[in-house]
Amino acid sequence: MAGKKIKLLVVDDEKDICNFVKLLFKKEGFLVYSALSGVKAVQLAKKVKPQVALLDVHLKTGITGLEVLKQLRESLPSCRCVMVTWDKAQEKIKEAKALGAVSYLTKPLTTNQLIKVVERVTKNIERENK
Amino acid sequence: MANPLPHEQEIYEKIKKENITIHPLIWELIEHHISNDIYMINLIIGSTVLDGEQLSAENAKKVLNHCRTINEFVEKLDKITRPKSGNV
Repeated sequence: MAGKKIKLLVVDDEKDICNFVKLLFKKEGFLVYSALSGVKAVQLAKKVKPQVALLDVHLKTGITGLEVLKQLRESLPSCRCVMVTWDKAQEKIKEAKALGAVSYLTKPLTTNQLIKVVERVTKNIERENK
Repeated sequence: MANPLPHEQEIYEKIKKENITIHPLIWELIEHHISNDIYMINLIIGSTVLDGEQLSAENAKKVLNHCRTINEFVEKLDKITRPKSGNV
């Protein structure tokens, strides 16, 4: 990826998921941050101001991924949020879209699918910034 | 990858024709457990092997653990959902 590195925030309550997604996107040239809870994600986002966030819908403790989405859209409207979940419930998808998620991905995903979606989002950011 | 069953296509056709469905609660368990484990396996392999690196023993163990977890889940589900009279 040319130019300044895109900041990506990964939010998942599973440490391994955070670590491997981080590793994957570091190799793709992103500056990657991660948080294991919604509260930490919101705090970290205010500090590092990511352009893209990958949010797990079902976080075990504290606020949910949808609540994180809502707070990020309010405090950091330029951040594009991509939801990642096993949950295919239509009402969840509708809620996420209504709250401003740019994409809603359901597991199991391949790494290629994940990279493609994030690259598409970052291309849109770069296009808008030109 | 497993070879398809000799009558696999017939099974799909029967499921479709007779509108055989899985209860949403069972789907919820399947999606939650299996999807997460497959996603993790994809991430572990995808973030290492795809760009030419070798899978470390530590990560190979993680893959095996996720396979074991899938197996345990399927066994548990089988135990409580399979009809007592045997196969359909």
